[in-house]
Amino acid sequence: MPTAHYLILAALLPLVSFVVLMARGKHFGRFAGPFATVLVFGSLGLSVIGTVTWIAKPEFNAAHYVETLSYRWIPLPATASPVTVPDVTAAATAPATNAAAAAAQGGGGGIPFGVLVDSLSIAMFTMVTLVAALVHLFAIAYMAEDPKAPRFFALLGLFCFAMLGLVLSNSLPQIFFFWELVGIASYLLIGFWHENRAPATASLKAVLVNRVGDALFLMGIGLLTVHVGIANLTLYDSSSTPVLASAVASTGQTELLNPQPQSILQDFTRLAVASDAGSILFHNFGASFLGLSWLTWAGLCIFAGAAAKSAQFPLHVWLPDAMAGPTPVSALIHAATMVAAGVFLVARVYPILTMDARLIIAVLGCVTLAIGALIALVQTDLKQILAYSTISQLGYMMLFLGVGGYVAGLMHLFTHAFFKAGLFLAAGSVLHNLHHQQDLRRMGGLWKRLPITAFAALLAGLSLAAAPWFSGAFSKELGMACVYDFAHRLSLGGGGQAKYAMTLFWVPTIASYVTAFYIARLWWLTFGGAPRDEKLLQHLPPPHENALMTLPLILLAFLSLSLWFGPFFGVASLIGKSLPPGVPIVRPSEGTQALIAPFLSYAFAAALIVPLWYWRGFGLAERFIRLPGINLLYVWLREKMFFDDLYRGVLVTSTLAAAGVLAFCDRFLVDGVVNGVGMLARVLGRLSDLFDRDGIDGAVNGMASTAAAASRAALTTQTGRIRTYLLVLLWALAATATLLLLVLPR
Amino acid sequence: MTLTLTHFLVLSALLLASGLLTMVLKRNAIGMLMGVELVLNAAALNLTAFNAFAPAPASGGGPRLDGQIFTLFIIVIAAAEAAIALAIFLNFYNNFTTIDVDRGAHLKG
Repeated sequence: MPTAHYLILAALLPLVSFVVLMARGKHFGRFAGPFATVLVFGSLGLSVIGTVTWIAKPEFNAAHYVETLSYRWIPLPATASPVTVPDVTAAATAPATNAAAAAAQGGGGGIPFGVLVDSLSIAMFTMVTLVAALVHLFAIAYMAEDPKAPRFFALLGLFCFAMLGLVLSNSLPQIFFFWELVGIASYLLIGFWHENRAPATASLKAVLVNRVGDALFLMGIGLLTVHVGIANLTLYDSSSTPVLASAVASTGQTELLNPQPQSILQDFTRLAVASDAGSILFHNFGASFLGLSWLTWAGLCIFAGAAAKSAQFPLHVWLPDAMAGPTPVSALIHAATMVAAGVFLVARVYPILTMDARLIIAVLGCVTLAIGALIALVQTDLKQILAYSTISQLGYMMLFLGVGGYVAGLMHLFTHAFFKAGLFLAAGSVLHNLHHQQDLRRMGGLWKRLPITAFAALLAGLSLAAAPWFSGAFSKELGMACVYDFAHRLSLGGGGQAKYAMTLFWVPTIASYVTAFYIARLWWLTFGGAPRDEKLLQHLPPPHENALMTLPLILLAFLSLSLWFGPFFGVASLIGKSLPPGVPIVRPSEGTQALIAPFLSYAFAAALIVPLWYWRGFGLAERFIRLPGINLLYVWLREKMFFDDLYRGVLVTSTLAAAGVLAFCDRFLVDGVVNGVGMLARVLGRLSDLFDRDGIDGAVNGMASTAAAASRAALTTQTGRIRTYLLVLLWALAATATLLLLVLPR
Repeated sequence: MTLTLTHFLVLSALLLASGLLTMVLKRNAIGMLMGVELVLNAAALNLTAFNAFAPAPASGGGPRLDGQIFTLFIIVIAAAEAAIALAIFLNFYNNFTTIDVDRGAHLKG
């Protein structure tokens, strides 16, 4: 049995949980949680079996090996599949044969439904099922009192299915399909308590922001389709050939192999010069646009999709709001797995990312990690801090991938998934105990009430702070070494970017000090010191730490140790095997690692001043933020750098204004025409009615009334008085006699 | 001065005029009936007068009696007419408790 079959089965189990709980959830009652959990643990078991069979394969030791399955999915007419290769130079025959192979494999033209198993999907799969299983376990206790719990677990099942399907996808259209599915699951789960206003608007915001990224993602897929053909959007065919990458390479794009950025970043002024006005309008992306090649644009468009999911600047604004969802959801979807899907996508298309695209990704990642770390520094909401921390760490991952640290970026994804899930579950445990009080200013001293949670959060927090021997330090050191190598090489090269290249190294280094500070602040203000709000604690029931809650916490805390990811278990080398040979990545030398390791170790020391700074609660900090200059900085950070206000002011307001104008046009122009026509018809009808009533009916009635009037006139002679009649008779007689006398001859 | 036919005719005309005026001017039904009798008598006088002054028939054989016979018929018819009229007036009185003909304008259109 191929590994793929285990994994398909493992992906379908959560779908079963979703369908069953959606249809029959009410009948399960409080057994809905255990039911879903058992199924997800089944997934976990199957994925572990799959991993073991994968490692046991003889081909595993090869440098690169993939296993694919392919089913018919979206049929397309035969005319759509031929590939037009614009530049027939090097391996023009390669994509054609690949297309034919793909077509034959999928059973005719079109997009096949593929299953791709390589070392990356194996690792992702195991990580997702493991975190999902632990979060399910935690959620049983967390959602115990919620009457909507069956729906919650059903949606978690939908999410797990979509995420696992995404991990196994073998083509970009298929990835997009599951991409949307995880988006829907995320939307439904953010708005799980949609009776309240905040979750409802937060879920809408998440969807709208993701729409921006998804639209660009589709444009990226479209761009690739135009240039390499729809049959070549598959990642790998059955013979482990990277279809997409080789098709792209055969279009004559040589810049993939260039270690130095090519066009824009040599000299920013070329951005404006490189394009003439005509080419902007009528260009079919034949070669370049705005000084960037079409391949760079395709990579950037796909990255935009990834940036929306992974909350990268400037599309990061939805993630902090998404914390309105239940905390297990925050842990599973908005910290460990779904937000990492963006990073996973960038890794999947890594072979076709040009240097320019990667440099832009790295710069945006760098901006994101700085923004996230700085905002997290001053927030007082427990989950908000963790959300900004997640944004910041995702920025690190993107930076690592951008500079070419393929292994390091993905390693950070894995280590972050575990320690951040641990931190979120710890937050969930705190909130569950404090009846959803999220404000740090009312906490403090909780280590006495929740010792196990405090301990687990300490371990996970140390990992986030990159303390030695913890997983965070391992992946971050690896990544920062790559960043250093890259930035150093860039600064030695020529061009405009050389001067600023080292910024790419120094910003994340300083941010790692900030990271250590804010996570230590979070831990100390929650668990350390003395309780700041005795009243709050008095009203609560005695503390209880449910085993269902503490078990996942402890497991995740121990998974934050460096030992699981280090050389002994070989996770790094496993990830390294997921790239086809020939794709340039940065593997930092031992020397570089030794050079930068001290910087990061000192970062951990920033955590140590926190207990002193906050020894007596917020007193010292409050005095500090009132200093001139500092206070402005503080407000700027507390208000999240005004991104929300900026977007609301510029985008939301202008959209609403445009909608208002359109509504006005609709109401007064379109409706006006329609109503005018209606009015005209009514006037015509009125006229016709008048003609009918007064013309035709008038003639008929007129005759009748004339007759009636005549008869009335005639009636006046009929007085009914016999003497009148006699008189008339007499007069008539007299008249006749007179007449006869006059007329007759004598 | 001898009586000529003209004297009779003038008298008859006066009678006729009185009768007609009586019929028109009297509101009392009995009065009207009296007017009718006068008119009939005027006609009868005319017939009698014409009979008296007409020349004898050429064939001989007794006096001419046509006018007288007519007059007798008229008297009989006048009696019958009076009987019928009185019966009508009785019914009129029963309906209107008066014999004022102007009160009974039920034939007004």
